[in-house]
Amino acid sequence: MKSLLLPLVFFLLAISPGFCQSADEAALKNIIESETQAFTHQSFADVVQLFWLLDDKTRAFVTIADGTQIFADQSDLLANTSVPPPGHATFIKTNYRFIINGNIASSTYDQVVTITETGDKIYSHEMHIFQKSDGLWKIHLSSVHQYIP
Amino acid sequence: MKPLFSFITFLIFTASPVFSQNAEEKAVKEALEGAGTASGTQSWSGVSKNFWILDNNTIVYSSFMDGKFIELRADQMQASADLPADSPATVSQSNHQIVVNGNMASATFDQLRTGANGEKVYSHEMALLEKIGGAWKIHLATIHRYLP
Repeated sequence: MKSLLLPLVFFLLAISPGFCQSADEAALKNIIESETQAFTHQSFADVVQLFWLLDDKTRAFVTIADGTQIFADQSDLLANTSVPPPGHATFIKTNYRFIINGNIASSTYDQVVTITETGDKIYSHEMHIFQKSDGLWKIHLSSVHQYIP
Repeated sequence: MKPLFSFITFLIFTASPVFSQNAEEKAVKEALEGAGTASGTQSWSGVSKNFWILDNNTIVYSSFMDGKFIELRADQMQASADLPADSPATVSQSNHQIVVNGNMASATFDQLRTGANGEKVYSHEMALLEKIGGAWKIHLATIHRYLP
């Protein structure tokens, strides 16, 4: 029995970092999807208070497909209180990649937003950097590059 | 004498994480500035070899003033041996906001690149760095150019 126990313990120890990584990836993906879903019916201010770590280093950098840039810190993010009409847009995210080490993580992915009323599509490459705060992952930095495919 | 010694020991213990954090932030800043300076005179291949972690997750997103967008991955960086068109360019960075946690760090900063012809390019940048073998290396970066 003892000879079976040792390989089993070794096996469990060997695979546990993989499970932890997968659990963190699942948590990060859930935050990313939930945050974007929230943007379809809640104001920026409400969304960032739910999903972001807001401090003096919080930043969002956005370049629109025409080259226009928006650079926001926490006060800019909290100042946007306009609420979009529910269901005005849907989104699909693909090509997720994660880097997780301790309490800092990053994700990159591609996004296509479809405006319900017009059918127009907005394509972007996005990057988030997260911090784990009180056991929960929060978005701290965000970069959005919209593009025309 | 004993209370003074205890107080000094306490002070050293409480202050050392702050010193250590400041030292790491300084090292992260130096890595970013080193990569920026090198990018003024070296190819992507040269810069990435010295300042980046090159693997399947490595990525650079870069937007230009006209809306043009470039995505570079590790293999593309390594294959890009051409010197920059504005070489020798000088690069200065400012307004670094750095968070260090263990062997991971994130940073935002502003960059001004002045090409050999005097043309100035301004950008807001974001990076994820990891400490490998005692040295901070860039793993992800995103570049948003803008007109000041």
